[in-house]
Amino acid sequence: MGQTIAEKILSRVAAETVRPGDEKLFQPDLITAYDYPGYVDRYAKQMSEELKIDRVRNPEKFVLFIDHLYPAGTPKAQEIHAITREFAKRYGFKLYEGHGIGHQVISEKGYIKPGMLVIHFDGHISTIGALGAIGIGIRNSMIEAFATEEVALVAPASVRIELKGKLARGVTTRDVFHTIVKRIGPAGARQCVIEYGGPGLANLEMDERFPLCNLAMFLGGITAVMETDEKTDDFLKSVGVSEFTEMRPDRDAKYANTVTIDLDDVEPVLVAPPSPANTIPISEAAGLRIDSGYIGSCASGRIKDFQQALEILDGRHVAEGFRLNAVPTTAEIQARMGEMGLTSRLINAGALVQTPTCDFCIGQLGALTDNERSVSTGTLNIPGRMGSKIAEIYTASPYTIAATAVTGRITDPRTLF
Amino acid sequence: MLPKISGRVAWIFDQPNFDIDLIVGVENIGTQDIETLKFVCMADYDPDFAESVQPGDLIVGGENFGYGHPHFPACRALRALGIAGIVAESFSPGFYRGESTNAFPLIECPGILDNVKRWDHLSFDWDSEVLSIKGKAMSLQCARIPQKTKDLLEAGDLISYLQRSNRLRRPDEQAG
Ligand code: SF4
Repeated sequence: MGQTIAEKILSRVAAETVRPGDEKLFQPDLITAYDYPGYVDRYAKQMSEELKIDRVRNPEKFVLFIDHLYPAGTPKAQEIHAITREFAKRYGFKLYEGHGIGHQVISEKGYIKPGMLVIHFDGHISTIGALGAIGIGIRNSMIEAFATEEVALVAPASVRIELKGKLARGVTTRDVFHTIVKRIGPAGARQCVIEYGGPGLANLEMDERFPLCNLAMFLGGITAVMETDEKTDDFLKSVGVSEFTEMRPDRDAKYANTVTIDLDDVEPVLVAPPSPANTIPISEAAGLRIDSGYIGSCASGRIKDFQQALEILDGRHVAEGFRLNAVPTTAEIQARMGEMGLTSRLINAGALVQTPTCDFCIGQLGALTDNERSVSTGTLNIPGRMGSKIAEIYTASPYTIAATAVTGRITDPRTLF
Repeated sequence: MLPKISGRVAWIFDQPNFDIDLIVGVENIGTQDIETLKFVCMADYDPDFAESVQPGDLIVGGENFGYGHPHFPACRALRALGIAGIVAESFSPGFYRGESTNAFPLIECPGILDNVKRWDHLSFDWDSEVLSIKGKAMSLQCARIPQKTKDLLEAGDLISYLQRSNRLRRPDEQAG
């Protein structure tokens, strides 16, 4: 019987055929985490004090990141980082601090190969699916992964998203993802792996692919994975990964559901508060007064996102009183933006170009006050996510945010080309 | 022994895709102090919640309960107030994984919303996986609970579960 990509990966890891529904212990290829109060600090304590484990078998399987509450704004935040540094040192784990958001840095640093199984506590590790690997967020079972280098998983079924066609100008994969949410519902891939493929995938650049995988949880997905192709290969080679196998499902693989998305038909959408479940056509909120914008996060904040924003911003200026934060996802992206001249163009248009950090996504920086409204490429728009509980967050594409930034009102970017 | 599930419905979140961070407010998701969490818990829904619940009470949720970014403080706060478990139409996978690992009983019960109101008394039988409602003749068949989840609930927390397992081998005890 044919296998989906996820079945292939889990079967390879288990060294036997794994079918959806099988409950098994898996040994992940990589175990990764970022520090945040109650996570790595807690694992560090559990490992040494409660489980009394003083070393792990394969320290090279672990990668940690400091990307939240960064740079530390309080002694308390610095203390959390200090615990993570000490934890990494003690067990011999690789730690990246200040390189940007871990969910992307891990790919940039060449850790990810197609076919890998990667474990994190945070579900946005699904981002690496763009490289044909699966990243699963297992929440607190992380301590099981740290202590035993194994995790118990119930093998998931897959939902196939068959992409065809090409995006029109002004439309992005953020719009595609939230159009899928609208189409199959926020639980449309619940408990499943979302597998993207089809001829339309070839028309999407890597920077456009990562967001589609990153947002998997908002379709109820356990994670997402993509077929690999020449673009994946080019990316992998650029980060020094040379030996890998291509990931494609078998022709007769079985899916819980198959959905075809014609990229030509996708239009810009907004995700209205109070939840990522809430896709609306941009026309429904057009003209709404907006105070600030954020382009960044593990979902968006790559070169392509800023190039798209600049298609609108070049030759224009952010509206009086509007705050536009442009936050590269990683330091490497930040450096490349400088080399490519994107940073100065953003600054000239009135954007505030920031250093890579998660903090704009969680309202630690650039916070909103009562009754403000923001447009964001962050992942989440629930009340309080970016500051005040009575501020509103609309998530949108970089095009829409740029268009909104120049008018101060929600604007369909296609009206400004 | 598996925890006894027999208690009143202390609150019903009937909306689908409910984000549990809202239970304590997103501004408190990094808060570890349990007294603060108890104080803010449910404040946006029912300011009298803490006074009206009693140990063993349950929360009822809708479809895809726990959607979004499910952080731990919300359920830590609920547990600290005596909430013994959540019965929902269905759970979002990240939430289910996280809270069942915290040994918090989560019972997926299709049809629950149409059949209960606040303060009804529910009981759950772990063997048959059937939920009954006091004073009603009918009962509801719930979804199968994975063995690992039951083992965790019996152990009481993940650390005890790991300590009970024979999986905590020291590196030097490893063959190869
Ligand atoms: S960018 Fe936002 S969603 Fe992504 S890891 Fe950071 S805080 Fe989480």
